[in-house]
Amino acid sequence: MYAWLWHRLPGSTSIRVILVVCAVLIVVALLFLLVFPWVESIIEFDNTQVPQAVGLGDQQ
Amino acid sequence: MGSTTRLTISPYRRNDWRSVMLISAANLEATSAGVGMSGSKSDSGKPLRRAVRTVGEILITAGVVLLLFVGWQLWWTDILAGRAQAQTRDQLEQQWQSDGPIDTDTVDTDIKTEYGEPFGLLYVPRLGDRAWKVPIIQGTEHSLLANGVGHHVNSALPGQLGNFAIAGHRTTYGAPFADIDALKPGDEVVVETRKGWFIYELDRDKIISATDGWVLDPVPGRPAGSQPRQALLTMYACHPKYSAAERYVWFGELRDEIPRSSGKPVQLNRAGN
Repeated sequence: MYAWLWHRLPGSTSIRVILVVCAVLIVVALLFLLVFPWVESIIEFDNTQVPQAVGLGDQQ
Repeated sequence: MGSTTRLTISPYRRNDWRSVMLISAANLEATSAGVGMSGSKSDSGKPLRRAVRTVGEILITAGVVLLLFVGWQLWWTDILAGRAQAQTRDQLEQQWQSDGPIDTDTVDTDIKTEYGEPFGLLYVPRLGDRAWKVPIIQGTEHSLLANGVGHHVNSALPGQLGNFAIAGHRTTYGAPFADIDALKPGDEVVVETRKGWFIYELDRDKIISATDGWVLDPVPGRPAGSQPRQALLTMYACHPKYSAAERYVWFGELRDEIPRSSGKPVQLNRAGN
């Protein structure tokens, strides 16, 4: 997969390396800014709340 | 005993094993050289080998993405929360300033709150910078806790009779209560509102299940419906660290109220503040 992508990239080795670095940065940025916040909103790993089962609680 | 047998393997046998490895490596090199010489553009070779390689690459990619997610949770959310909290703090202090000065000798506990908005600042001296001047937000929704600690909307306000209940992150998003287990009975917690400062003293801690809502009662530990005769504090975070299975709770009660006119309480005097 990666070898195939590498061979599809244009230019010399150094240009390809720059392209790969840019692609990786874009992917990481997308993950950090869009994908991970979305995943967390579904799973909520550190959901600190005590539910309102007994006594007082929040409406939500 | 099985492992002992494996450890006492003879040198001869070990060499044997190494030579097998060398042969496989040589085989691999020969294969890749062959691919290169055949002039093929991409990684051809047998379909099975290609499939195995692709699956391996996908698995490695998934592993890297998972590691990135952990990094995002533990490091990036702290940065985001740091920014959000500083902004919330500024917003609150500006609002207090524009609301005008307070010059009464007693502390009024009647303050206006709005869901999702900050109304106070929390200081827990023993917990250091993480729990210093943390905005207290009305509501405990997950998205609000990025801006500070959350106040349960139906619980008492600072200084009022009943239970002032707040929740904070144990990990991620600035984690104000990261070291909640390091607190000791007698430690002080300072809550600042527009009207003044409230000094609570912690007296006992407890680890409860995530569903133990009784800790939010007006008098926690007493039958529901008990009339509160004291101003109490409940503050809690997730427990154990990096889990959400239980909650670490501290209970305390109000010791002192300091009006604005008396100036900053001694508990808040420390280097850099």
